[in-house]
Amino acid sequence: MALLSFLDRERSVAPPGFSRWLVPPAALAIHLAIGQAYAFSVFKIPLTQLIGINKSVAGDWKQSQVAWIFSLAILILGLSAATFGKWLEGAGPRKAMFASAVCFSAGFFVSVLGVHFHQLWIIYLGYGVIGGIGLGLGYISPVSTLIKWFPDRPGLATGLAIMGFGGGAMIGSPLAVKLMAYFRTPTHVGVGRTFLVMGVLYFIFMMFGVFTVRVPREGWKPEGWTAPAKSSDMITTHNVEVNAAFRTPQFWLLWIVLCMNVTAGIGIIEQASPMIQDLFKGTVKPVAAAGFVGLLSLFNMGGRFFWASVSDFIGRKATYFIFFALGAVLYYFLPQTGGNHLDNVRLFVTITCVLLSMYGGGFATIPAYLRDMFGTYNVSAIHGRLLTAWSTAGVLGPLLVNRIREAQLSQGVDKASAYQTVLHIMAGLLLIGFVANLLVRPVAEKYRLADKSPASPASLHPVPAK
Amino acid sequence: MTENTAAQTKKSSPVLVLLAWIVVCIPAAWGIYNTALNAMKLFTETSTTMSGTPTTTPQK
Repeated sequence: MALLSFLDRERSVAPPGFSRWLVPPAALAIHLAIGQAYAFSVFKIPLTQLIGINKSVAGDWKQSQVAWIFSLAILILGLSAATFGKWLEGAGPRKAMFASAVCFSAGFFVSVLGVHFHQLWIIYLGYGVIGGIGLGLGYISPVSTLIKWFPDRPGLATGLAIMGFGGGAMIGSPLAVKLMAYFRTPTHVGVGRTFLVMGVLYFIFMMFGVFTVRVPREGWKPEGWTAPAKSSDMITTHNVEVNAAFRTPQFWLLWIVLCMNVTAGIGIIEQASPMIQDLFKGTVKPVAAAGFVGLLSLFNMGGRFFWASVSDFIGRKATYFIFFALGAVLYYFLPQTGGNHLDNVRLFVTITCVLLSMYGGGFATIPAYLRDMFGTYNVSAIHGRLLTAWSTAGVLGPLLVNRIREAQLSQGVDKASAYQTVLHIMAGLLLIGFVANLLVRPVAEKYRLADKSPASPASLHPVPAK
Repeated sequence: MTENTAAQTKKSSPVLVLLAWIVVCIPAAWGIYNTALNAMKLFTETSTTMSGTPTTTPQK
C-alpha cells in the first residue's frame, strides 16, 4: 500500500542537518509505552473480581491463572525479539516500531473482548501473545538505530532507551489505577474500558516514535568525530552476521552474563516487599515496604542510564566486572544487615538499591557490548536472540527463589534465615556470570563479514567460515 | 559526510528537538513523581530510624 510505504527504511533516511538528538525521544516513546508490561500486576486483583466486583466469587479467575498473562507476554517478548530481529534489520526501525505499536495496542483491544466475555484464553492471546510480539519488536527496534547515530556514545544512547523500559511501569501503573477508578461502577471493575483507553493512548504515543525516528544516511558520522582506527581489542571495527554470531562462544558467554545478572536481580525484585518486612520484623510495615519497592524501581531505571553511560568510558567488560564482583559481595553480605544481625535498615536499603541499579545496568549495557563484539551490522538481530536469556531468567529466577525458600521453610527454617540461602545462591550465580564475562575475548576472524564498515545489511555478504 | 557538510543544509530546529524531549519527559516525570511519592513511604512509615534505633514518633 502506498500509504504504508512511508514506513519503508528508504523513506526514513535522515536528511542532511537532521539532529541525532531527535532519535532518543523517538526510542523513548516506544520503550516508555511497552515498559507498561512491568505494571501489569495492577490488573491482577481487578481481573480476579470481574464477577464478584468487590471480592472474588465462584467463577472468578484465580490470581495464579491471571499471573500467566504477564509470564506469557515476557516469554513471547524474548521469542519475538529473537525471531523478528533479522527482519527488523532490513525493514528498518520505523516499520518495526509501527508493527510494535499495532501489536501492543491490539493486545489491549483483544483483551477487552476477554474481559467482556469473561474468557481468560482471549486475554492470554491478546495481551500475552499479540501484545508480547509488540513488546519484543518494540524493545529491539531502536537499538541499532541509536548505536548508528551515536557511534561515539553507544552506551549512553541505548541506556537512554532501555531506561525508558524501566520507567514505563512508573507511568503504566498509576495510569491504570486512575483509569480503573474512573471507569469503576457498581457493576463493573473498569478493567475493560481501561484496556481500551490504554490501547488507544499507547498507540498514539508510540506513533510519535514512528514519525520521529530516522536512520542516518550512508557514511554519516557525528560532527568532528572520527572513528578510532583501533582503540581496543574489545571494540571491533568488523561486523558479524546474526547467524554467524549465534555460533560464536562470545554470544553464549554474553547470554550467560545477561541470564545470571537478570536471575540474581529477580531474586530481589520477586521478594522485595516480604523480604524487608521479614528481615526487619516490626520495624518495616507493608506501606513502607511498598515504598521500598518504589525506591527499587527508581534505582532500576536510573541504573540503566548511569551504568550504560559509564560503560562508554570504562568499557563494557569492566562494567560487568563491577556488576558481578561487587554484586556477589553485596548479595553475600545482604542477609547480615537484617534484624538477626546488624539490624540496619539503611544499610539494607542502600545495598539493595545498588544491586538493583546494576540489574538495570546489565540490561542497558548489553546492546553496546554486542556492538563492541559483533559490530553494528546485525546488532538488533543479535540483541533479539540474546533476549532469550531474559526469558530464561524470567522463569529461572522466580522458580529458584520460590522453590528454595519453600524448601527451607518446610524444614523449619525461620523466614529471615531462609532469605540467607536464597541470597547466597544469587551471589553464586553472579560468580558464574563473573567467569563468563572474564572469558569474553574478541570474535575470531573466521566469523567476520568481508566488508568491515557497511552502512546497510544489504551491502554485505558473509565470508565463508574457515 | 558529517552533520554539516554543506552550509545550506537545513538543520533541525532546536525548538523541535526540545519539543520532542518534552513529549517524552512529561509522562516520564509524572511516573517518576508518583513512584517517588510512593518511595517516600519507606522513610515516613518506618517505625524506627533508618539506622535501626527506635524513635518516639507514633505510627501513622
